[in-house]
Amino acid sequence: MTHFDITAFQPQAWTILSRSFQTDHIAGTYLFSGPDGSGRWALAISLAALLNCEQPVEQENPDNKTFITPCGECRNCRLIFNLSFEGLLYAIPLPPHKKEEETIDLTNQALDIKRHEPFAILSSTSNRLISIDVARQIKKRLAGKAPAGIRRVVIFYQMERMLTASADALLKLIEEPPPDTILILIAEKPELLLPTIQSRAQRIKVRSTPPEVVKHYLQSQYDLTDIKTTLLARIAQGIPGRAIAMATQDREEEPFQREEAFALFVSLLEDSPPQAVARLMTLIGDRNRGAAMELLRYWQIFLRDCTGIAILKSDEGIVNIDLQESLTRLAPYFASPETAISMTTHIKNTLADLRLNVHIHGALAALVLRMKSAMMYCR
Amino acid sequence: MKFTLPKSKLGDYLQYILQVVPNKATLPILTSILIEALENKLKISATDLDLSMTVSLDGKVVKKGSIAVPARILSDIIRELPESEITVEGTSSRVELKIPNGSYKIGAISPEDFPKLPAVNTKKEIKIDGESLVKMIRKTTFACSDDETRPALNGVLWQTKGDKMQMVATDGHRLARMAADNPTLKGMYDDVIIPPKVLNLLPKLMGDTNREVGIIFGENNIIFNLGDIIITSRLLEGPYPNFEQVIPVDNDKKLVVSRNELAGAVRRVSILSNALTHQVKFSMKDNKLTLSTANADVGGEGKEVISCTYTGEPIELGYNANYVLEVLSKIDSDDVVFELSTNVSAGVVYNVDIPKEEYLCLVMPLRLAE
Repeated sequence: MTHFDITAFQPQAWTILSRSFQTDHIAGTYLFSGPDGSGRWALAISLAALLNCEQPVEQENPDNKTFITPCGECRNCRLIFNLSFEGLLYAIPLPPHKKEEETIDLTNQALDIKRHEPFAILSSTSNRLISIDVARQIKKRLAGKAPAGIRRVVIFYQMERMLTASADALLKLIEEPPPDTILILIAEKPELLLPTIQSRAQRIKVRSTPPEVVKHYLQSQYDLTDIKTTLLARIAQGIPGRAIAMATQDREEEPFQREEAFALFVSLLEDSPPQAVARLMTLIGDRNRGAAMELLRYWQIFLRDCTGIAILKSDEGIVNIDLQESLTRLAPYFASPETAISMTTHIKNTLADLRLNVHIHGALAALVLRMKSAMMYCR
Repeated sequence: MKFTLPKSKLGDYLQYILQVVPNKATLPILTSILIEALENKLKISATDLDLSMTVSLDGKVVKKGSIAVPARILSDIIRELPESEITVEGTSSRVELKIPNGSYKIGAISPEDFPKLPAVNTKKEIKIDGESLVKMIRKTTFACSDDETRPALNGVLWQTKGDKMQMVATDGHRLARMAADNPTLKGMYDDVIIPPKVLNLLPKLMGDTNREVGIIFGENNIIFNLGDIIITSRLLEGPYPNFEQVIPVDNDKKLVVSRNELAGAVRRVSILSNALTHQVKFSMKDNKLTLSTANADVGGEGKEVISCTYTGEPIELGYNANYVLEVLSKIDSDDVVFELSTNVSAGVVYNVDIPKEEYLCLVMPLRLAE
């Protein structure tokens, strides 16, 4: 029995897939795009279950349109959701290793995480890659005919981490998968994939999950207080994997703790530009790009909360409900909508720059100075 | 589930079945075997998803049922036990092995989780003489390709045409084809591509016994019924390339040479050949075959002349010594025939005692260095 309802997490994507299944128009290759932890894996295994379910269930949505879901009870559904189905194959980015046996061990470690939590974010450090050997193994397995009555599903997780040589080796397969075989490519940045791959796959965009769905899921799966689930669901901004990471990670392992991010946000608003930059540089230290991006994502949320309080004169609907008092104190900095808009734009641009591999410290220092300048200009 | 049988019997069959069990797998159940206790009969199955094996053995079944057990743990325990009657009793989550002076308990998995094995429909079974099957396998599988870009060539093509059948394997550099008559095919026309893994396993399982093998050609798989052992292999996706068109029919030069003499000379000369290409030059003129090689890397040269019967214009060709030796090892007669045309076209190699329609090999020459 699955412990998540994919129709609640990804209603739009599931409607498309369900309709394709009902009309027998399932594509050979799909490209599920969206941020890590947004539910692309859950969507992929739900589709695998639907394709192999012995008794799919027809349901009606609020618009009186029918859609179909896997039963979650039959042998195939049970094994697919447990990642133990004979027709499921995986290509997962792995750290450098030498022996084939290590590939199996490392893949099993990743699968164990996903088996326990389908929305979990797997490590995506830059040395993790989908090697040519894994691509070859998949090709070899697919050279054999599919067992009778089974539709094989191959999940390529973090497809952008596949070496170009591996991707080249799979081009023909991606263009025309063997009979009874569906390929699902999962990517955060599909634009980084070879154009030949992008054009061969049907793209499905995985969207944000409503906070109440994330909250309900956290409540049902983790032992957390109501206020914590509310807070995590809001901070996660529609990405269940992020909420789960914050709920389950040791605080030491978090790339950036919210309290630290808030302290820097306060410093940004209240200290002089040199002081704010110095404080930021001290705290950021030798942390990686992911941590810098996490910091900016927190700042976006703090900024949104302050702006909401300043402009709507209400603290209802703020994300950081536990910081309500401090945020109310900082809200006057954003009394002018231009300040908020300008600062939001600067953060967004810096996030884009960080994705493009710019120097972390330089980008953050420039951001602080631009934001301070925006505050002075708007005032 | 509960049954009793002698340790040695269980141990022997487990050794067979372990050949299919992978040491590690991303699908954990594959490292387990399925034990089914039926009416006075036991079935033990294993699969790696490409290849499945089921062995049947007689046993005293007290209670019917089935369970999946980690294969290597079970096998290790059975192997170390002294000879005695073993009682195996399974619940939904555990298997207990009872011996006269103790017991062992192993965690088990629900049999439902074990991959479904194809049903064996003996009505569709055809019988083939085991000896001729093994012969066909041994004489063809060596030429299979391991190039994953052409997956169909990774297997052996088995064609049945009326009452004839033939096996073909090629990797693009050499080809082996063996044909045989089989009246039991009853007019069946079928082309299947079989992975070599199962074909290489069959001779080992059959040993020296000359028994008939039941074969069921399925849509996605092929089943070999050896009586107490049933092996199923997934078929490879086709189509297989049209190999007939690469077999030359009008090669005008003919070389007949002693197989042993040629093999010995090729082996010796090739020691000095290029480590990558293993190229040995074959020069034929006036009933003399000269084998030579030169290797600038080690500053060596080798040359041997052997007598032969050669008809046709003098010719010089380069061959990969390993390919020639492999083909020669598959020929049974004292003399071997090479039919040749030019130094860039395929040479047909066959047994002097058997018509080439029955068994032939093809070897592509290498371009000779300037």
